[in-house]
Amino acid sequence: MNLLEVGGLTKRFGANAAVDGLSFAISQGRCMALLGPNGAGKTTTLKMLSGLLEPSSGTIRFIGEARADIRESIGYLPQYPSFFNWMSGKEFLEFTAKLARIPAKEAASRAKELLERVGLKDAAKRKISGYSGGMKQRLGLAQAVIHRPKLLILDEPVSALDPQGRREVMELLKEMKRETTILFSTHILHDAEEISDDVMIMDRGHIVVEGDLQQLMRDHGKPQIRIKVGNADPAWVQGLRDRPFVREFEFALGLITLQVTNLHEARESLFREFVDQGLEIEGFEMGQTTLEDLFMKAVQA
Amino acid sequence: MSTWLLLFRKEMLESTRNYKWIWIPLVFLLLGISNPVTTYFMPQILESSGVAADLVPVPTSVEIMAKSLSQYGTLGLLILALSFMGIVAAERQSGSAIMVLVKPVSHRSYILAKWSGMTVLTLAAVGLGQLGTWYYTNILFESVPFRLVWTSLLVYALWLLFINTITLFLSCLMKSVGGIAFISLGVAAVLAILTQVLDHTMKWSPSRLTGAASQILLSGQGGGDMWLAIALTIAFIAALLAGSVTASRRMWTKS
Ligand SMILES: Nc1ncnc2c1ncn2[C@@H]1O[C@H](COP(=O)(O)OP(=O)(O)O)[C@@H](O)[C@H]1O
Ligand SMILES: [Mg+2]
Repeated sequence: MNLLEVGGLTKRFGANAAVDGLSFAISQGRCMALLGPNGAGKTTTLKMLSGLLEPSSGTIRFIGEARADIRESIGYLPQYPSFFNWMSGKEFLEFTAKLARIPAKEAASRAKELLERVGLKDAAKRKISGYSGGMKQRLGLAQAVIHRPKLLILDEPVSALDPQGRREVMELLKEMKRETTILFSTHILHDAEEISDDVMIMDRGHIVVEGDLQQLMRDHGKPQIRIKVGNADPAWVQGLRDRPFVREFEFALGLITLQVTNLHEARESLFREFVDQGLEIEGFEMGQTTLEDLFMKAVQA
Repeated sequence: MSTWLLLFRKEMLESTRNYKWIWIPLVFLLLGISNPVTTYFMPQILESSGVAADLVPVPTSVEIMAKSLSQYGTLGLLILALSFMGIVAAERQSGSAIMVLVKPVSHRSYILAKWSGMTVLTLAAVGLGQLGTWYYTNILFESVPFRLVWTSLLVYALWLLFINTITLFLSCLMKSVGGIAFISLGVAAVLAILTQVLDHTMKWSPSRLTGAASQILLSGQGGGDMWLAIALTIAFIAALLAGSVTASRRMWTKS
């Protein structure tokens, strides 16, 4: 069942269309990654969905959402979250909980529960100004889910973090994924592959590819072989492009990448050649083209 | 708890934590006290510098209190404009306002809470300052009836609140906080000058309130046009508040 349906969503800044005719849907309970290079229009899209920015045209429809103010059903974490640094983490969470119309008593217990969950229990009474980047991001995550939103919108939740902070936030997202529908943006593919069910790739305000991640990988995933050879004869390497099972050939930094028609056939044939020619194979890897190839292709097209 | 009240309490807590609740009233108190005290010691100061003290007329108690009010309109106003210039602009610039506005909060509650916060702090500051003036005036000179003190104070404070509201409005519209303070003070100065020059055509001017407040102290009456100026100033404040709400909403949703 769809939770959110977006049609023809457009935002113009002057003559520039930052988001240009976006139409898509988010299904209940899914985790969708909004992928795209910087300037693709991700932040603009998410701001419109969360009610912070008014679309120039287009519709945003929450299905089965009778509430007058959609912000009650949405949790939002901005790309560069900024807090009231003079508050403590606990004060801030209680404040945002009450803003989300949670009664005072429940707000306090909810804040306590979330501080513990995002690992800020010991820092709860400290001023936010003393928090590290990772701690702030986790606090941002906590304020976004404090009112148990139906849709959690996160703008580049891990992009600015160091590996340790990134790990912590990713683990939290995996947990939250079980409880609510998530839409998060990123320009890092690996993040999308790690936790999302659906992906939507954006470029220059348009959707390039959209759909179920597994399905997309299957549809766009082509059998691929990578070979690293120590003593490769250049003539042999270049000759590989003419093999009947090779569809695309690439050779860079001693690494041969072949997109093939049939993995088994290609492997048999190649192994025979390795033996016959006495090649020193340092690496041999069979697999599928990844989302990265799809991403690069989509964005360059 | 209503959203407005929640945001108002946040404003109060914030201005306590950043010590605005200490130093703004303190500045007004110093302005207020220094006036009767320096007036009291003026003859000695003059004598010690060789001027015959009886050449300078000794002001009356009510004149001293009226002078204090006018000091709030210069130095006091400067302090207020500088403290409140970023009240909306700074939160928008830093992005912390997003944390409020992504929750179900109306721009009206948001702006009204800001205004209420400014108003309470300003009233407390001028109130304290004028109480200080009154106390020392009563001790050092003849005593002044309290009725004159608080009525003149309210009339004068309305002028300060008017300029505060202009600061708030500009803070919703503009990015440069320096520019916000500069324009607010500019409006106050230009209005004051125009009102003096075009005495007959500017009967509605909010800056007439400053004269009316002095009149209350000096003669017990604010003058015939006072109520017109009061009514129009309140109307201007209401209009500026409505404008601030619209400006704040537009600033967020359009760009
Ligand atoms: N407030 C704004 N005014 C003018 N242009 C903007 C504004 N916000 C974003 N843009 C432009 O819109 C495009 C998309 O920006 P953004 O949504 O931030 O992309 P992303 O988040 O994918 O990096 C960019 O070219 C950016 O310069
Ligand atoms: Mg962005």
